[in-house]
Amino acid sequence: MGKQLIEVVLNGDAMACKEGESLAAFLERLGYPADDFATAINETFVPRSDYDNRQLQPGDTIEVVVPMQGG
Amino acid sequence: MEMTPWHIGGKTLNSRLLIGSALYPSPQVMQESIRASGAGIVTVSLRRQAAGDAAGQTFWQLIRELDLAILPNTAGCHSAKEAITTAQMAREVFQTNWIKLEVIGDEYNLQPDPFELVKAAEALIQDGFEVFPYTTDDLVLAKRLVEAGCRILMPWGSPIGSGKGLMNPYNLKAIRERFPDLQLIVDAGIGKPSDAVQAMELGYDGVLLNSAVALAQLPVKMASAFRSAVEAGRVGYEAGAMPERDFASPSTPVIGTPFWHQAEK
Repeated sequence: MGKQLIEVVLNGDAMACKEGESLAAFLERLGYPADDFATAINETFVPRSDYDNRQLQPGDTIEVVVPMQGG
Repeated sequence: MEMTPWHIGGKTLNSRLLIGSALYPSPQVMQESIRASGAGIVTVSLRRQAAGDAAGQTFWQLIRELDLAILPNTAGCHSAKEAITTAQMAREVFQTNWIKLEVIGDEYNLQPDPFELVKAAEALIQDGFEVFPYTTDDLVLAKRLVEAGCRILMPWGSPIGSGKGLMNPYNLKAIRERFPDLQLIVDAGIGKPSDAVQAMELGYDGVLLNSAVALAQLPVKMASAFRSAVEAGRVGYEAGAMPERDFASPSTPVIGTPFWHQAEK
């Protein structure tokens, strides 16, 4: 039996992903580049070294941020 | 002009100007302006990005080409928790432990929230960050930030983007006198080069600005003006100004004044 789909929120938008999908696989599937971005889940920073082991849970709120102009 | 090198956050820089990377009319003008300013530190930020949008990477490449020290900010954060998470993300992306800590307490004047600011500063310093806190000119808040471990403070001149200059030089002076060994940077509110001169003449170690250059009619030219202003203010401070007097004192020697001036006394 295939894995269930769950709903997560990415940068404010609801999205579906497979239950137990790793953050690394999720970001790669969406086409994020290899570097120059950082993530937080449920307002807590997730270091890059944890992407493979971090399994997404229903309702997770994921932020992906990149460099931008700032003062 | 001969300005002593600046030791800040573990780096040694030749400029005491910190410049922002936002609000320029184009990416090219941004690059040219930052170069013309001679600044050794450039501020950047983090924003959400959708997959497939390369704007962030393109911007980051332009900044990297400048080869300056990077000071990421936590702009837009309203709580210590948000600011701490943003700082941790910035450390990973920008590969620096420097963070310009902004925790906004009011949307009208973008005034920092002093309580959340101290809480965030404490946590970030324990986590190994070099915190550059954007703060008001309140002396007691400055004390609390120092007690939290801050070695650098960045009191505002006036609200962000207002261009009103130094609203309360007395308060800024009090912080300088109370903390003679701290690195003090006026951050926000600078509008004209003369504002930067005034901050440096107060003995501040640096000036951080963005809108004053980016929103000038000729940003590159204005960047160059600020470069000169910060240098002039600092060198003037190092040279030591003469004491102010309430009465006139002739600068031309009076000995040997020709006879026809004697009658005017």
